[in-house]
Amino acid sequence: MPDGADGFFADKPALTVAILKSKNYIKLGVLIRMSNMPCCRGIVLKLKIHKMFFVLLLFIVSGLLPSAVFSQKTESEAAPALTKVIFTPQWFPQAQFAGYYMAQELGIYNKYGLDVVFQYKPPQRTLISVLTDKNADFVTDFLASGIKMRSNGVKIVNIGQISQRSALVFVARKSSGIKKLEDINGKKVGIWMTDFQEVPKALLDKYKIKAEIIPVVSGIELFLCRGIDVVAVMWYNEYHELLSSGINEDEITTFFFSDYNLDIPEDGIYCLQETYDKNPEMCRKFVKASVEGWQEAFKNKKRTLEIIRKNCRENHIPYNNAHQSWMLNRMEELILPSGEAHIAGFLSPKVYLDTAKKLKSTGVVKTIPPYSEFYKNVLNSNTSTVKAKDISGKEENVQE
Amino acid sequence: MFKNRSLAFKQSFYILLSVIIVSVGIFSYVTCYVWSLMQEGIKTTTRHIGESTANRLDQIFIEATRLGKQLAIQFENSKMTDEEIGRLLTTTLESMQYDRPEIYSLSVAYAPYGFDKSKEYYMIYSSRKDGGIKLEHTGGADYEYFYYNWYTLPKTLEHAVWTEPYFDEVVMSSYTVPFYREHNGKREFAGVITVDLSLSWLQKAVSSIKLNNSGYSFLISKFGRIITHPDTERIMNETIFSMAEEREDKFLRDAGRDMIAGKSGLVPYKKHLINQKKSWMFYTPLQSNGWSLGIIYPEDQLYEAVASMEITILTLFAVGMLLLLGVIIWISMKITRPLRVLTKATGEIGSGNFHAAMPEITANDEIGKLSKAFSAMQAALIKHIENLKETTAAKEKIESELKIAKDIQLGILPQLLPPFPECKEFSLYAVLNSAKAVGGDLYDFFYLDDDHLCVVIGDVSGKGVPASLFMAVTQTLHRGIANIKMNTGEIVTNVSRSLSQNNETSMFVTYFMLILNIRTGEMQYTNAGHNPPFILRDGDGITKVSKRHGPPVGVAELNYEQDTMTLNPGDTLVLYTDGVTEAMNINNHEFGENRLLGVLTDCAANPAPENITKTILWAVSKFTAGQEQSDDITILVLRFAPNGLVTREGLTTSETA
Repeated sequence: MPDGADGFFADKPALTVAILKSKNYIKLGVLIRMSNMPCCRGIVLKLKIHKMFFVLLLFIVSGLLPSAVFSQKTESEAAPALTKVIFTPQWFPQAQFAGYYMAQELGIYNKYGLDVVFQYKPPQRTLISVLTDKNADFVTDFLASGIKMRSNGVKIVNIGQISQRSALVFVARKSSGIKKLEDINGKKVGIWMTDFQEVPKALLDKYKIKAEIIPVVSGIELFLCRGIDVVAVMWYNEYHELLSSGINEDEITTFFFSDYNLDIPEDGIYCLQETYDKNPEMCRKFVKASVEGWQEAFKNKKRTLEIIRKNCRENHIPYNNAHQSWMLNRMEELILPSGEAHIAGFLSPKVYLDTAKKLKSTGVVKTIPPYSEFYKNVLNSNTSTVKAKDISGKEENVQE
Repeated sequence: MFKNRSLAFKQSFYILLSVIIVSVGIFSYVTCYVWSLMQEGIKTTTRHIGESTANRLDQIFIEATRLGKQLAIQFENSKMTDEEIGRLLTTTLESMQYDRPEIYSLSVAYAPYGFDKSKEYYMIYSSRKDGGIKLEHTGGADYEYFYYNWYTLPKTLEHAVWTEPYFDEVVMSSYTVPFYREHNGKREFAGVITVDLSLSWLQKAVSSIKLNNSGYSFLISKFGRIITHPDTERIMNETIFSMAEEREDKFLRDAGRDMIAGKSGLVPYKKHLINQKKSWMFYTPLQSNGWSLGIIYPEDQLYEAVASMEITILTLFAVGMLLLLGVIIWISMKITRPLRVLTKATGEIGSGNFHAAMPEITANDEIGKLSKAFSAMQAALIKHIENLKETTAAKEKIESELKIAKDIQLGILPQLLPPFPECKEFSLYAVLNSAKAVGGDLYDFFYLDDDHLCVVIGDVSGKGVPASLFMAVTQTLHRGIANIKMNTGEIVTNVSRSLSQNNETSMFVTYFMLILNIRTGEMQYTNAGHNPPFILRDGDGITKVSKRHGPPVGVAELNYEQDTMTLNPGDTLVLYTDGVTEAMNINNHEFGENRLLGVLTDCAANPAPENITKTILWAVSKFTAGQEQSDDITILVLRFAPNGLVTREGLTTSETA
């Protein structure tokens, strides 16, 4: 291009790019005109690029492109199709289901070939109805409800007993004069209206407490407002909610069900018998992945809380660190009560029978379904790592 | 420079120190006072702002409350049809569209079969939607409202209540009122009315309360749930108690309990949300629904105002101190400069230059007076020195004359001792130590003829020049008068007569004269008031020659007699003046005759005159032990025939033995 010719700039646009080919080089020029004066005012940037550079560039690009396309194709070809399952936890998103969230987040479900979709139910809907209406493949539920349903003829099976302890508590204000269980006579007791009412009611029956039962959907507001004198709470959830609402521990009387011979394990994974019969492998994978998820959840609690937070947010559920942290720690105590290293998800025949007998004696169930029909040991749990605590309070080793 | 400054420096230092201490005290007091005033001011302002805001917020809740109650009354008193109910709710909501858009929805829910015996559930819900009002019939198996808080609360509590805030598209809270019906004479629960309030306006209303850029406000529900907060993450997720738990802040928990108990207060708060500074928290309840408003402001906004005041005061203080320092140094220098000059001039005088110039100081203050005094002292000093010079010169003149006089006097006394060393008839030694340059004691010995030795010892009254002159007269007299034809009594009488004449000074001299026949040992003596001498008898003890023949000579013209005794060969006569016996020691004890006797007793073994003399002298000097000699000391020791032999016809004990 003409260098430094006076009139050159005058009629060029302010920014001009020119390419000039010479024998072996491609010259790239950028003109920046800074004034309209005929005398040259401008910046000229020149770049001499050898031809070979472009040839090389072409080769590289041509080399990369196919492999990119290729790999994509391979990936989609290599990955097998994931089985979609719908999972409905028994309550709102919270640390109670940390294991499942971690299995989801860390890709453990995917690893086992499952694509798990979380679907929550309204609190007044029963979990059994969710299963029987085929709204979900797997649910979690209390052992007591499960046995009751099975006893009533609903064909559901327990494929993993995650919680090994009871977390049920009756809470009353000391100021209402309730110091011992008998004081509950004649008082108003709030109990959830759905699946979780069996054991609380059973406790009252067992000890012949005549109280006015007020069914509640969720929460402790009625108790906070002093509409009821006693409220059934989960130790890992509503109990801490009480503290978070300004009630001090020294102001309340607590009745832990585990102290009253009703230390009945709670959360377990359930599905319809037909689901299990049709695809036991899928059930095994779900439980195994979920159990792995739980192990991960306890390994790095900070990370776990982050994931729980994410899930709460997505579902517009309130989240705060203090509450979920409390819950996660309590869940660890329920799932690994003796500090075991390994979650077995195992329901021993002894525990099952004791529970069923208790429920029968309190009238919750009429008959005791056979153990093998109710519980499917999908993980083939190693019994030597499992200590089942007798409901009456004695430790014992259980042989399968 | 620094040396000279030390006074100025010390002064400056102490004055400044005192000023600083006082100022710091005042400053601290003022700061504390202002601080507390400001704190009070802020507290009052905060309280006012908080309360007025709470009142303002209350208004909306109160209106909703009123509306709810009114509706409940209507439902109690009239039985409406479904259409009428729908219309009522719709028009009510519509009428509030512009005044109270916060009232989001209204609903009525009947007890089971309460509205219609065939319907278990009956609930109408009217809400704002898309600029209009939407009416819904709800309630059924999929929505068993009988178990929901907004229903169970008023039913169980039997009075209206504000629910805890909940989330339903927006954050809301409902005022829910039970209504009753008469049935078979009994008042029965018939259902509830709810007035649902959207709370989105609250965030803005509350967050607008700011005392300055770093304060903030928040609202909590009846059970501590965070309804508004600058950190929006907290809203509805946390309660004040869960926040306190997370931060392990017991204080916050207690404050929260006070807040939900409906208390009002202003308390110090340690952990400000944003910048962790010490803060204050004011809280006051909303009267309508038991919620509570909290306002937190950090203390450092107070600091800003007080700090600027403090900085101003400190600056003024520093400037003042510097000024003060300058003044002090100037004054100190003004004082010390003449002092320095005075010091210099005094130094010069001290080194001998008595005529050194004194500084001109015109001030009439203490320094001026000091300076005048110095000048006067200088003049007096000069005069005094002149006097001293004259006196010294005169004194020196006298002293030199005295010296000459001493020599002359000593010349009067026989000096050569022992006087006759070859003489075997006797040996003699004498010493005279005068107390002053010239003395009043005298001793003399001379031959009257070949066989007779005359020895005299005397003590003129007084000391010094007068005594020495008198002594010279006396010495001259007896030398002139004494001859062989006279006995001692006659000589002494003559001497006395001569001395008594023209003795206007009434001086006298104690006088002892003896004449010894050196062949026979016969001794003639006269004692005119003098210390009785001692005789050391050879081998036979010591006795005193105690006979006195009269008072000292010179008193009056008197006749003196004499006595005679015999000295045996080897006997020693010790003559002395009272300078010996009256020599005083440090305890003012006199040497005394007894001590002298003791000395002589010790010398009995070697009664050589020189020995005895020196021993006595030694004993006296040991006794006086450095005390000033008060009187002339004269000792004369005469030993007769020390070897027991006489050269001519006389006694020769060794021969006769």
